[in-house]
Amino acid sequence: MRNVITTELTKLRRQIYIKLLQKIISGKYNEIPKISKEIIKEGNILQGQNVYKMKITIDETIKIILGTNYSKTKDLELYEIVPEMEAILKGESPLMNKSGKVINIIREICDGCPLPSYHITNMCRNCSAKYCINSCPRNAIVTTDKRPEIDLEKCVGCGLCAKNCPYGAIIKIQRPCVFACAVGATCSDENGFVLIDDEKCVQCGECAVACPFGAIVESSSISQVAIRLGKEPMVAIFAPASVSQFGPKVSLGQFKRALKEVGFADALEVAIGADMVAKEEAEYIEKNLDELGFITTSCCPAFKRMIETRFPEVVEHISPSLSPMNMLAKKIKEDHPNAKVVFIGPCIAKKYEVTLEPYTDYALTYEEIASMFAVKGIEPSSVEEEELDNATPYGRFFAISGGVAEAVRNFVNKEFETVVCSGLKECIHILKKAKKGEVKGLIEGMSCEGGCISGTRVMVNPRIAMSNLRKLFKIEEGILNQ
Amino acid sequence: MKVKVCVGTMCHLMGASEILTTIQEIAENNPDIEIVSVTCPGYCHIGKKPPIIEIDGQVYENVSVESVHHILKGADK
Repeated sequence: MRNVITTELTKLRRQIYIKLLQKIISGKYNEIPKISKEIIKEGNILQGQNVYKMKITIDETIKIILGTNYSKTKDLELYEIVPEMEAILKGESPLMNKSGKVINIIREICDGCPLPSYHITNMCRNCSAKYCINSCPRNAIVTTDKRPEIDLEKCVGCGLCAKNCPYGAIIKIQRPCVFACAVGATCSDENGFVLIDDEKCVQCGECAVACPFGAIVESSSISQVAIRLGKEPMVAIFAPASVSQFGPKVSLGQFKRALKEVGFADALEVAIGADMVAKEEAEYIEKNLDELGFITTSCCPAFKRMIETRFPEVVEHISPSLSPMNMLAKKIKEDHPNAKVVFIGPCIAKKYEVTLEPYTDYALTYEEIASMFAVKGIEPSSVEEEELDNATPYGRFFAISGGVAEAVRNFVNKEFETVVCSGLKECIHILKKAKKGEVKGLIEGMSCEGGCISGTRVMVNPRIAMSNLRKLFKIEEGILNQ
Repeated sequence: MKVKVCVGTMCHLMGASEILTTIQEIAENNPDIEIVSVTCPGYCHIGKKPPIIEIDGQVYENVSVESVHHILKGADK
């Protein structure tokens, strides 16, 4: 599961959200280009980074989180965008990002770090035995007068040299974005800078979390939401993973209340939608599992897109149900066609999913909505607690790996197998088997290891959040206890 | 020693939950430390940098998981 560390970069990104929201809410659009100066002046220089790099990081991040199409705005200066601000906030500017692509690369910030490779460090003693040379199956290690060297042209990356070195002097260098990407979508351009293969990318956002330079940034709709809040009817729907995301003093009921105070007409739990999905998928399984052999869940957008891009021959095995988010949003839209529905969760891929169906209008992460709380002076821990919606504990456990399968099982009146895969790597592994007919039953797939509670943009360590979720709600657990 | 950890929105955004976990870990071996998580006492509104903790009335700003060890040691004397 993910280990959440609030790094200097995390703090910088959140400061940018706060500053940008301040300018937008107060209508001072012409001050947006000054945000980088303000942040730098306040002494928040990333340790060891120069001011130029810092300014670029802030300015380019602002363009991306304004929701613009970065391939169009990357060559513009921020002040050139200011005259377009009204249109950008309304979502009508030609500069807006209309594609479902939410992952953007700031090329100036990319460090062009080395691609994954093995490297003999100066801890090497140049011993007589030469375990490295003798264990290499490709003769990729050559002797020099100082110490052996790896010929990267020949090296296949098996790692045997590192394993056999008695000094542990051989290390594997990683490129964080490449390591994080389970679908092999991050690659290099001719100059060694990161490039994303849009055909392969599933918009999971792991590369954005992994990049230690902040060169990969996800789009945002926070500005468009901020400008409409309190003026247009908007309904917030929050993910089952919301438990504990705002610290130990904020209950789910208080979070619900805080959303209303910040300007939403209503705030509902996506867990209600999850209950609807579980029932629908249960019916679908009863009718179709025998014929199809295996059926996969459809609630995780990155998982679903992974199947569509990588295993197109099995797309008919994906459950036709909407995701819990869209299920609930559809119901809200039926009752209130003019309302805008805003999803709040831990997920970057949901930002992509909202562009696919007409039900949910915007998707925000917890840090985005928390920045809004901060700017509007709302302290969720001080507001009154509201009663929660009548979702079942099964719907609420959609946040944890195994929870979806458990909920569906609860509604199905026949025996069937379930396979839980957590993390995209495991999902790919299981689908390869399923394609060959080796896996039967319901395949639950979640792109993040551990489930949404360990999502790409969670604010609290998943272990803490998960233990709180289990304390708050109880279900008879079969799969979840394993 | 009474350690107040602010877990208000601003401090939370700047990593207060990790600070709290770290202090809880330190307190496991030190029965003198009493931890109270508090909601925003307003220090960030008067220019202090979050995350903020308060030890026996003394306010510490811009606390990190690293610096909190030193702060607690210093305050213990």
